[in-house]
Amino acid sequence: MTLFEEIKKLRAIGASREYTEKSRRLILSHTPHAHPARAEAFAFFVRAVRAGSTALVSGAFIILLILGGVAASRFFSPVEFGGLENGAIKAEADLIDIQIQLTELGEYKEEALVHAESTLRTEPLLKPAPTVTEQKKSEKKPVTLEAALDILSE
Amino acid sequence: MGVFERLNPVTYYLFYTFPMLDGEHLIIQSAIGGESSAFGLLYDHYQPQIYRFVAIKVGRREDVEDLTHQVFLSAWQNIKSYTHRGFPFSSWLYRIARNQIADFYRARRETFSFEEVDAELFAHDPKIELAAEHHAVTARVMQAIRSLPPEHQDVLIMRFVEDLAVRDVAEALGKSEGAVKVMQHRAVKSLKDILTNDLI
Repeated sequence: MTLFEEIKKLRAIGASREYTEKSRRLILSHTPHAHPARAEAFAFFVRAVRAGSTALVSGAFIILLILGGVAASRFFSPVEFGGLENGAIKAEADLIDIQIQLTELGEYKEEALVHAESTLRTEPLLKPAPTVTEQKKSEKKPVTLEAALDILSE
Repeated sequence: MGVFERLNPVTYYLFYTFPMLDGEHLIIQSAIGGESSAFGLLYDHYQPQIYRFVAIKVGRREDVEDLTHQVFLSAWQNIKSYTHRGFPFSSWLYRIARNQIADFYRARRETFSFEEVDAELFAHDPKIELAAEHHAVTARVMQAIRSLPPEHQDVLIMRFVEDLAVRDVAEALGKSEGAVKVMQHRAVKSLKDILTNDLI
């Protein structure tokens, strides 16, 4: 007798008719449970929604906080942005400086002309004779800044 | 004796698979809908093989009856969670039975002994009266099977006692078909070693 035939003999095992009938009757007298998989799925869904909404609110709050911080830092302090070239800014600044100098130069020139004209116009025809002091002053050489400071310090 | 059973054992086990119940899918749908008579049909069809499966792995008639009852009760109570995937309903029942048996042994912490092979397990049909020596041989085979690892036992019972196809066994055990074939090969080899060398 082969091994398979010996194993095959185990098919003779079976339940008694009394047991089968009794067990069948008892089992079928029960009612199946409510859909456990669906109930579990629903409970899982509710938990997921709760957890998800909490995470969503927390995330939104964090994003608002970050955006607010960035906006505040822009508003209250100058921030250097990588998009702008330092060279271009410097060149622009230099250009503005030069224009100011040129403008100032023009103004000085105009002032000088006006002053010269007004001096000519307002000068009395009979000029009083200059005093000794005035003569000395007029004879004086143009005073340098160092000389003026020395005089003041005296 | 059926056509397949007249073939030699190798041909028999290659081609024969345990038939599903006719219109099983519709019967299962009715049972899921709460129709107890539909589950009754499933019980009538699958109870004998689940009973055998439990009997070979447990041995004592009272325990076998309790466990088989629990398997079908659990199946009926949880029938709404069953999803038909083209496998026989027995695949699901075998999974429940395996869990019940594992719980049973975990709770009792007992191992099988030769004396626990109950002669009444074979007394379900008055026409079948096994001689004492025949019973001894069968009990020895049962004991040899039970000395194997649980998964090897399952493969041997499902493949060679119940004639399930490899894919159905794979579904019941939650393994790949390749893994089942490997387990089957090892289980047969181990069983042969045990029986020929009288290791039990």
